[in-house]
Amino acid sequence: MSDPRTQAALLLALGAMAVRLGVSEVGLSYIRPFMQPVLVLAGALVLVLGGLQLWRAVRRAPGAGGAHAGHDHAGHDHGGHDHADEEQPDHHAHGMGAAWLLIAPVVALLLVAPQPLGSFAADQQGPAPLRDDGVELGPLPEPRDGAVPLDLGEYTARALYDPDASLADERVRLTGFVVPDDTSEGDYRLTRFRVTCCAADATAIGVRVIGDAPRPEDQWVTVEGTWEPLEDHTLGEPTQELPVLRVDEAVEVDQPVPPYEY
Amino acid sequence: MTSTTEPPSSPPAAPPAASTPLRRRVPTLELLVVLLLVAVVLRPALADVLDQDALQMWSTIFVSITFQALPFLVLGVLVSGAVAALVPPAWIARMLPAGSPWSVPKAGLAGAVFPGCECGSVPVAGRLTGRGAPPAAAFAFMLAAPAINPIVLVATAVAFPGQPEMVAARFAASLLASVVAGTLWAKLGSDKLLTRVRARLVPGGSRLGSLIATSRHDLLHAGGWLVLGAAAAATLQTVVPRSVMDAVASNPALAVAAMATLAILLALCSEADAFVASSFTQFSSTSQLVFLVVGPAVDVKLVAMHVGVFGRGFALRFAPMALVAALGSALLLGWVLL
Repeated sequence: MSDPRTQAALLLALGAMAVRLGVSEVGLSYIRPFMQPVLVLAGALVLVLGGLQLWRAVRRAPGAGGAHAGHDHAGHDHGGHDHADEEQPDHHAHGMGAAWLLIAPVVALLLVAPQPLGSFAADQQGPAPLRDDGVELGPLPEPRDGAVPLDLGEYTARALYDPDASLADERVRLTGFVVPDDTSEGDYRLTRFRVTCCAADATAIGVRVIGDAPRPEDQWVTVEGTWEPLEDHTLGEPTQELPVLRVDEAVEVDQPVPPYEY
Repeated sequence: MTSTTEPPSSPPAAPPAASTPLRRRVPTLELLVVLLLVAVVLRPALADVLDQDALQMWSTIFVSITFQALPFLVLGVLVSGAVAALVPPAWIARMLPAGSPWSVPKAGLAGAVFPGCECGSVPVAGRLTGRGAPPAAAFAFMLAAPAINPIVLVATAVAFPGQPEMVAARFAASLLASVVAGTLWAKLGSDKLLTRVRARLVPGGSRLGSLIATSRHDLLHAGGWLVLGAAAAATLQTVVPRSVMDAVASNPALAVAAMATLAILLALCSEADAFVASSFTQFSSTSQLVFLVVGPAVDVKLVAMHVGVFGRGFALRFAPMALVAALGSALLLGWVLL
């Protein structure tokens, strides 16, 4: 990776991909919306570094032979040189070998085009419920079209940790993807990931759905129904059980944008 | 090599293209183009193979870490380029005198104002060392900057609502860890191991030219190692179920060991780690603090970058020191404050 033109091409590819992730919906599979403008800026700076390098390389191309000849001379003239100089070419070639790896995320995006985290990753984390994060719960949002729209994080907080039981007698609407539940027939875990910085720190939030027909794994659904309190659980106490929703209406939907909760 | 600095007036070194007549010229540009073409063309043919769940999850996490870290890395290499091109070695020598016992704590405290994460602070520390800062002080800065800057402290306060003592404990423990690790290095380390620190500027003609050239060099260089670390973290997250870790949380000693191990393996950004730490509510506050202090100091991604920026011998010796310093500081502050 000592060829300036290769360095330039590498930086241009990386910068272009950063800008693309920064302006398109695809990027939201990996990072949060507020990071997108930052990524565009970073990508633009990488493009500038690559562009300048390309310009330099192209401008110098005719004289490249001469420059090399001069260097060869210096390279062979080791007699009176210090160690730093002697190590220079080796050190440099060695260090820059790693730069090749920068193409890996670009290739991964072009070749694998990875989807947002789904049921495989959710299974990897296990079916534990979201913990009580201690955030004050305000009044329940106003119902829209006959049901209160909630994200899975807020539903979990109200269903497990709200001493006022604000979900009682309320009809709610939740959206998530299907993670099949082996323990009980027909039920599944309605799941969505909560992301703090990027998808690498995502935490699966699950709600156990009862009363719906079996659905294909990873299918996104919007369900409506009512809260089913857990047996033997005092609201506000820690538990290992997922909150439950008894569903009477479910529609299969497209993957929402963004796919995560924040 | 680390202590010698080239006067800025010296003639620029030969271009990085150090190809002697004996070395065969590898057609790197052509290889790169072929690689990208193959990726685009083969995508439909390989769809079945590529849609495998584990590969999808691995790629999502790998791409996420890389592009989440990229803006911080770019900021870091611009600062490192500025350090190399604009800050005179004499100024660094005056601020951080080699023999002074205050150099290491001063450098650690300076980390509080550098708004970066760990990916950015590694190349900055590399350039500081190259420009004549005592390595121990540069390392104190490198460990402190990602852990105690205002952005990270605010994130920590948000992640632990009603627990301001967690923010205080994190600040104190990380600062202490950086000073202890820097001092340990000054006593037990060997600056000879810094085989890869570049004393010289990347030639660029003018000051702006060398800033750009240095930034480009550091971006390619540290970026490659960042990608390697991201791949390692993605592999561990894909292969090791997080639920395995929950089993050990009940035992206090095991919990501390588990949180330290998690911090090293997950390799989270220091801006994000507080939220993950707070989600492990079954773990004690002290073991959560261990997670917050160890993560920015030593993790798989950082060790890869240390190898790349400073050298393998350095990384092998420094990582245990940083780990011991971070663990000790976190346990002490956890005992005092939490």
